[in-house]
Amino acid sequence: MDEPALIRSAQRGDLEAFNRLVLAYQEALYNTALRILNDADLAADATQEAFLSAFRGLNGYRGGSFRAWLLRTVTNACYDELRRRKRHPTTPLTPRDDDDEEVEAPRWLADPNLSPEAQLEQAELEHAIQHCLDGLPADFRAVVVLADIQGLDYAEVAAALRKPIGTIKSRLARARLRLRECLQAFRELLPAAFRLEEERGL
Amino acid sequence: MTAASFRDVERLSAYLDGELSQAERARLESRLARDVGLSAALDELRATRALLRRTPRRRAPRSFTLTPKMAGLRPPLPRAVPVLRLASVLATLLLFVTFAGELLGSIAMGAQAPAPQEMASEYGGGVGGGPAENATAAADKGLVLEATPTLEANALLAPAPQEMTPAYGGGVGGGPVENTAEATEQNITAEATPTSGIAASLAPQATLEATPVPEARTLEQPAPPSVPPVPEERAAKPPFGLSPLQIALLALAIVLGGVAILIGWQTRRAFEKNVKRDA
Repeated sequence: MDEPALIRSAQRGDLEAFNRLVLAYQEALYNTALRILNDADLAADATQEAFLSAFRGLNGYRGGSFRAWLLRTVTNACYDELRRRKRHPTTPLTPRDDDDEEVEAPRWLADPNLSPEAQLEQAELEHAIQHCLDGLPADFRAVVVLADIQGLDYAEVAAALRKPIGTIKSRLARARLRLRECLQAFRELLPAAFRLEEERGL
Repeated sequence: MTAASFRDVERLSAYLDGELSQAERARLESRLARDVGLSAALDELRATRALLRRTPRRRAPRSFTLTPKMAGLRPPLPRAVPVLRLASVLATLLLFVTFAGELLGSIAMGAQAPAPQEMASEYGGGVGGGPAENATAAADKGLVLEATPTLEANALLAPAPQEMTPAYGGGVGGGPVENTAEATEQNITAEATPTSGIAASLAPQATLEATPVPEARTLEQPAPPSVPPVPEERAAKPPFGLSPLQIALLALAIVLGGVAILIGWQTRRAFEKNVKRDA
């Protein structure tokens, strides 16, 4: 069945149709939440919450990019979580050193099909990106996660975040500028990845 | 090589994403061809974007599909259910409107004498409420005019209507008994004091139309034609003091609401069975 048909069935209360959409989009929603929140458990909670509210509010979907519509529910769930966190700061479970950096990269999550070197590189890249994303204000982080990590176009990001396209355009530029500066500090840590980009840039 | 302004970074960023208009793109491309600094800034932005696009994707730690319970699923209800519900609510509202009407009527009258207030509250809203109210209103005037000289008369008159109501609630055979009750009542009051007798005879008279007080003095005995209509009205009253209209509304509210709940319950049960079978 195609997506519009599944959506129509789900809107009539067909949970099975909705769950097929969940399976198609859960990775996108989970990874979005993970990059915005930087916490696997909270990201899973936000994803579940997002799908629940999506199912309940499904009749509010009136065409357009369904992915953007779903990503809006998950960014909303993330904003709720960030507001909660602001009110009740907690100590992270992952060990951190004096600079508040995670001591160990989450290597256990890397793709097992990659060579050990590539796995290390992946883990370091993920760590560097996540660290730099965390340094951005939440509004900018959401824009860059949706546009550059999830690959949404400006109109979709604008729909997902309910902001004018002009705002998205300017926030994305600013976020990229700041991320560039931040990532440059990891240049030594990520030789392979950056070499690749430098070759492309020349 | 000049550092690109933020306006330029914004343009370059949108250019990378193919989000510039054709005219903007052409203008930027011609500038990029001449300005090395601008094209260097573009390369850096492009590298950053490429790196971000390579962010490792993690697999979802579990399935996020919803169970019917999580979704709080309710089956689609038959169209009749909301209609029945609405009708039930409307019937209830109308019932309260009739109560409110009675209450207002009794407040308007109750300021003068406590005893007729009770009567008004029971008769005000019903079908035959109008004349009854007139009667009590007129009786009130009689009371005010006549009862003031003697406290005794008030004491005798005031409880009388209250006592009468249970007697009328009796049922079919109530009519004659009521008549005699009222008659004796008036006899008693008539015997008690001259003034109270006048007041008592005023009450039935008032149902005809407000007549001058002096005339009342001539009617020492209860006027027979004016008495029967009052018990007739009362005989139509059920035990709880509800008018037929109110009873109909109450029954309608209960029946419609009950049917709505029953249909909803059956639909939900059938739906849960289906869900279990599917799972």
